[in-house]
Amino acid sequence: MKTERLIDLLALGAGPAPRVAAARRLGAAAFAGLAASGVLALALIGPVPAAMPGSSGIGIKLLYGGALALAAAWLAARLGQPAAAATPPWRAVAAVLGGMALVGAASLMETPADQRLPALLGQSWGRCPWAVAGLSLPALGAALWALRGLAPTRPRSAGFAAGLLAGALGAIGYALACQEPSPAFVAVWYSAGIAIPALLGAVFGPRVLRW
Amino acid sequence: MSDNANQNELESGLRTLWLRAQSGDEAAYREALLQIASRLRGYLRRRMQSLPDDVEDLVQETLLALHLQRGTYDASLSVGAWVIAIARHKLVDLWRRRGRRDNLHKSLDDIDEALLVAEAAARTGASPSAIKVQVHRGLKRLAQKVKD
Repeated sequence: MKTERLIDLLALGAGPAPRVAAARRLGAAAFAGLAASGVLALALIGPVPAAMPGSSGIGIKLLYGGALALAAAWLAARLGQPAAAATPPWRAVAAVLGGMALVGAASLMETPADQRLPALLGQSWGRCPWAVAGLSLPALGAALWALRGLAPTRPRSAGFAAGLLAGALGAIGYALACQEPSPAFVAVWYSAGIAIPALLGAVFGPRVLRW
Repeated sequence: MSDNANQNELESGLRTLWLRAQSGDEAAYREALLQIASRLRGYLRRRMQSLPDDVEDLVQETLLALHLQRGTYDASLSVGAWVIAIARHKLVDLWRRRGRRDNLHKSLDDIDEALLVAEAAARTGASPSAIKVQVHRGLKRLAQKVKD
């Protein structure tokens, strides 16, 4: 077909451009992913005992997961739009990760030297990253689905952003069931868990997000 | 400098058309797509010098893609940058498809040659490397005959 003929066909009856509700689509995916990770955490692992909600450091975990989820969703929305500037949301992601690392390091400084390693490893360092990653899988599927409805021209980065969002939601779910009190534990092992779906997203992004 | 000014003028003309098209003006949409097509042709021709016959196909593929995705445009973006981002995406996809196909051809050719050599070796009782040397010499002699 000649290109001019194609253009006639495309323009004929084109009407106004459809509105792509990137925020609503990503928001719906995030909500579904968050619900799945919370329910799974409570059902499979069980809630933090009521006696220790204050000392379990749940506040900082929820704050970390929530801030990272917002930054990652912003990043995913930008990467879902051709030519949209992604530098500001990348900076926001880096600021959240860096902020958590600083808080973790500061808490370690305040800990007496001989108790630093036990604080860092807690009781569950070997389980935590896998639990966070596992709880994030439904959210990873949902976030990739949301991005498929947009137009990611940078599919590897977009997959990474989807994975980061999923990891943050998995971390929020796991916070409901995790009894580790130390911010240093959160900075290391939660972040390691979040990195797993982020890398999965980067690996599968180019294949899943083709259009 | 004048190149830059020219570019800006192009962009602002296209932007006016494009914004009218986005709100439903079909004549403006048609005109904008014609301008975009000629810009895409230039962009892709420079990058597809080894595949000149495929340029127009990719222009059309890109036009179709940006028609389907025009909802992802918003007024904060430069129309030119938005179009080129989609064109680059389509170009990368084309190279990936091509690369995979070329590799397939290459490996089939390799297998063919290996099979032929192995079969000749089995029939004649010569070693595969001796067969390869024979083939090579034969080809050389043939080339010489053709020249003469």
